[in-house]
Amino acid sequence: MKEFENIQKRMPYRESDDYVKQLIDHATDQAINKAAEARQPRAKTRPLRWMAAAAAVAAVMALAGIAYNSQPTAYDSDTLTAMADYNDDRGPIDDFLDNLTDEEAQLLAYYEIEEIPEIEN
Amino acid sequence: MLADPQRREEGFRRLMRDYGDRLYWHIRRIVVGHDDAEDVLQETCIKILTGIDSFRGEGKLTTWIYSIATREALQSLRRQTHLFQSIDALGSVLTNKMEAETPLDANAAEVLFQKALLTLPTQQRLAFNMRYYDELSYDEIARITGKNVSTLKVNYHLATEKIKKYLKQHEQ
Repeated sequence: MKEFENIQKRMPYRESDDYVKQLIDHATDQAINKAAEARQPRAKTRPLRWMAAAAAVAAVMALAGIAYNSQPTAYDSDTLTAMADYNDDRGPIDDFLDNLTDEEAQLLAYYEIEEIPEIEN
Repeated sequence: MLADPQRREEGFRRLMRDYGDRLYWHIRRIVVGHDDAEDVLQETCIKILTGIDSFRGEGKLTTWIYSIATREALQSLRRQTHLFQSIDALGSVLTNKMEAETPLDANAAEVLFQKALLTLPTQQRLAFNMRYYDELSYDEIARITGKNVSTLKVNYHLATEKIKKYLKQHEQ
């Protein structure tokens, strides 16, 4: 145990006093710079932050407006009449499509342009 | 000087000139690794400088800066733990760090003494470090750690007993 009394308060680390002093000076400078940064840019960035927040709110409101306008709305009587007129204006192609069986509709759906045979003159 | 915003920088430089060395070694004894100690010292400096307005002058300034350094050092240890792991479980990690940063020709007794210290639970190690190395009074340690004096006396006593036992077991 005497051996341990001899070491007193020494530790096995070897950082010299000069090195530790430099380290402390560096930490001191860094802290002063950081504290100064924390004080100053706040005043400069505050208007920018407000502008960014206002732009974000405007963007959200614009998106909400677009989403609202793209939803189906209740139709007034004139529109309903026009739609009915449009539906009455049916041609032979509409009758043809209405009369297709499920299999024929499926074949039509899978039909690709490459499959059209070349027309020979 | 620190209370005056115009002279704060000058006061802070003086404070660090007088106590920086003690702060570094206090932190180093807790976190053990030099890089960790450097980071904690940096964070401590920032907290001291930016929080100086919250120091009401009721206690000693040194006690206040020691409490910031201790809190930051313990926070650094907590960051090294896994989920739900206590910082007391970091003993072997810290011992490995200490050995890695010890020169090959280091005094064997000094290394063994540090190993003995790193077997202690954190609160006992803190009490021992501040009493033995920093020579702080129990009242000061109580203010720094937020523990009561009798708990600290018990912690210090247990720490010395464990260190003696460890050294006896590992003495060649």
